Amino acid sequence: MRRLWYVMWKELLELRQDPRLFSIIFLAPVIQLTLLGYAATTDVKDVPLLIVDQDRSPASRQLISRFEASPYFSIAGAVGNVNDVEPWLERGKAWLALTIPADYHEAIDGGRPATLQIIADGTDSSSTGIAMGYAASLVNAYNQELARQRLLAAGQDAPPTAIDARIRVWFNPELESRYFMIPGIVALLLLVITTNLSSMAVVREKELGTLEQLNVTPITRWQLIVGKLLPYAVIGIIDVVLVIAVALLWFRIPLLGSPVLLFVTSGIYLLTTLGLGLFISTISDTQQQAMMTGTFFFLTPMLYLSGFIFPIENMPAVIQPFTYLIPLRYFIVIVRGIFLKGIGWSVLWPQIAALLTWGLVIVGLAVARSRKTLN
Amino acid sequence: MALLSSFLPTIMLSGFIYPISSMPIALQVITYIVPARYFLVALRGVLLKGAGFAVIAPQLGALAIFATLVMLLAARKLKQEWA
Repeated sequence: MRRLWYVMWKELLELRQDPRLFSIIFLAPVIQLTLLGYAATTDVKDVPLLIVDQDRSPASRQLISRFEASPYFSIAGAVGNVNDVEPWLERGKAWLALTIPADYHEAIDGGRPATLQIIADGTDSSSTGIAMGYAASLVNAYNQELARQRLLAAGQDAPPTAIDARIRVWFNPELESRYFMIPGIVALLLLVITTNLSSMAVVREKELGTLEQLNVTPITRWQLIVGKLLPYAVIGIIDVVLVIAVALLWFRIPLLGSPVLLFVTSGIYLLTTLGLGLFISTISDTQQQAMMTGTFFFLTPMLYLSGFIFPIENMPAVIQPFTYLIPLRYFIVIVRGIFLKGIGWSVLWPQIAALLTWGLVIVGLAVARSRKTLN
Repeated sequence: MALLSSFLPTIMLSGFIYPISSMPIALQVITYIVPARYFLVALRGVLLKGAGFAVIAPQLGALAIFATLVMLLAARKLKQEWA
């Protein structure tokens, strides 16, 4: 036990030597969460819209004013001819182009169906898909309104709607994508920071040649790895408190579940991220190598396969099994569940068990690998 | 440590995952210092839209300016350390 304590103390003293430590532990997570929290929105608004009004009538202007009034669109410009649309879409200055044909007002006034054309830039397929949905529902609502006005003008009563779907949204009633994203960013930041920091722990000794000295001390492999892990766990817990504070106090994310469970699961998650860092440290020869290995072989695939950005359900069936290897996958379900749904142990235990297993295995692997370097 | 401060911001602020036009204005301004932003627009333009030099010229220009600036900065830093 005393040996473990000495390894811990030695690591803490070494960490104190690093002048950048303060900014990495305290500033990086807070600044990054604040910035990225605002960036991570899948909401689509202010879609740049190009107007091609070939009609130039009160009727067409009324339609355009509908788009202007919508928070989802902002008018990027107007051209007179469909042939002028291409450069706008090509340069990305507009995502959608709304073409109103020259006979639009005649059709509307005459009670005949009018045709509109919407040209969309499909390169960013998901955002454009959402924007097209907004455009379609805007035109639809306007369409129904016109139809009603026509009937009323003809002295008839508007027919009652046949189907009336009433939608209730649970857990995130305002459909704020930020609420969904920020717990994910919390998980991601903890992974990037703690894994990177701890991946330096053992390899630093190799670079300095002090691993040979540790070799001749009676410290066991377990004591070395666990003694290295604990100081980083302290740092990790400070970061957990910081990022959760930013999520709650700055972004006002509701925490519906148990704060205790959130901290306990965060602790288990830190075991996986720090264990991974230590494992990377034992398989690397230099700090630079450790950083490269961590980023390219672990962090990047984890980020894309965790379900944080792309829903796992949408991935090809061949890829989906790989996501089970990623601790971030489990922790994202856990944080989102605790924050937004207020669910607890009874629902989350499979994720928690998976996370704990992953953490113990990776720490075990780090210990097993460290023997080779110690001998 | 440069990695720690550039890895996530590059992915999230480049417009790769989240549309820049949906971000708050202050953040949209910050995206201009992320070089991946320009490369992404140019790459999507060339690959998907068949855009030519004229179309992606602003992006190429921005990348060239960024490259020149960081190279100059690196050279200056190196000189300081050697002196």
